[in-house]
Amino acid sequence: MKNLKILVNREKLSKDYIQSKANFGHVLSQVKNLKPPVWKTPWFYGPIAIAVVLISLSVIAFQPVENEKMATLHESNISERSINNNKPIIAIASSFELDTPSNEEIIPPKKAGKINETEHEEIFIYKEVFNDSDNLPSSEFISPKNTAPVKEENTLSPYPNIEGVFTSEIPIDKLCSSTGIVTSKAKVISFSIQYFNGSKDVIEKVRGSSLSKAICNFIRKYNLKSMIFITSIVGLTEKGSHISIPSLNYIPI
Amino acid sequence: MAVNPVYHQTKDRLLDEMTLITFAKKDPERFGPLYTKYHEQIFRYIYQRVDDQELAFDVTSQVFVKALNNLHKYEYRGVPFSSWLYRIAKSELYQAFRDRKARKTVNVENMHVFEMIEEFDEDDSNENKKKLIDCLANLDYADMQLLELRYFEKRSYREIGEILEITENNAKVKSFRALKKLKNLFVK
Repeated sequence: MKNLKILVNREKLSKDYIQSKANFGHVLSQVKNLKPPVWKTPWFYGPIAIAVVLISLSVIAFQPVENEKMATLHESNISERSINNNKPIIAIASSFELDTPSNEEIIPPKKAGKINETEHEEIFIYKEVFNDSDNLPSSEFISPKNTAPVKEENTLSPYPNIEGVFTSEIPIDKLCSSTGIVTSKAKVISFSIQYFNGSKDVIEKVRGSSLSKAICNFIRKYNLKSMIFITSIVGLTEKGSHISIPSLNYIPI
Repeated sequence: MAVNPVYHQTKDRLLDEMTLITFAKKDPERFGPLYTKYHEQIFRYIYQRVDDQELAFDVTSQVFVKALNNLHKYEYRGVPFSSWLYRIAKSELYQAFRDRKARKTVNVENMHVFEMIEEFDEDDSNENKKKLIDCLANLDYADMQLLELRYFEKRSYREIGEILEITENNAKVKSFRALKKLKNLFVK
């Protein structure tokens, strides 16, 4: 204890001397002169309250405009796709927000006409459906009149899919097929999958493009009709470079 | 060991004190009697722990300013009002040590040294007195505080507990441990 000073037999102060130093008036005046802390004053809460009200109002005011913009954009996208119905998948890829890190290569849009290389000349029109509850885009394929019915096939699309299913519900057998995730631009070499293993949600890193038997068993047992997420999909291009591929989410059935 | 009688008050006196506090809560100017009653004790408590007299008066004044400013928060818990003032004093002292770089001081009287040496069953020689003072200087500040409150200021364990914001039993256990530490240092 370096700072401790020990005093032995220090002279005691008398009671009278201590009382002579007592000054209640001084204490009272000090108390009266005390200013309340800044955070207790109306000047502190006033601007905060005004700011909160303004932010709330602006959020409420701009919300409908955003929705209108989205609706307009959505309609124009659908009509555009209908016109260019020979290259529908390209529009899909560009209309999605791709979850790609900036330092990695992004899949370039596929050249028009490639879809026509498939045996069946089926025209797929992609439609984004906005779920009212959470406003998250889900998707479905619709077939226009006078066209062949939708056929979920493992077409080589630039957009990742499993057995031709791009998102939403997928039969468990298709999900667990050996084909796994495919895309025309790259060979999938790894991905992460988030699923429920009976006790908690786990994120597992998978090498290759298809799901292991163990994961499939968990999905079969605990994840039917619940969403699973396939993220961090990495593909290997023909040129040998790694690219990041947009994430997928499925509801196994 | 005889303990400080100032702290121990009858129930009637405690209730009288409570009446004064209630009046003071409504009108700060009626805090006067409480100030007069406790000014000396609080000053002595502070002066025991600092070496500068003016600083001790200044810190005492601050204790009462804080007490008066926060009197609306005070709740009667069956213990004298002084225990609340001591707690404020302890906090103001720490602030003075921190902000004003005041030196932590311990005032020891020959009588205290003699009593402690007796407690250790040792001879009351000058050499032992010097040794004990050196040992006191080597104790932790927390242990030193307990010994100061119990053996130098003769406070009850209940009062020590109130000041240090610990239970009475804990104050007792800690005081014994502090004394044991001092004894170990002394015997070495």
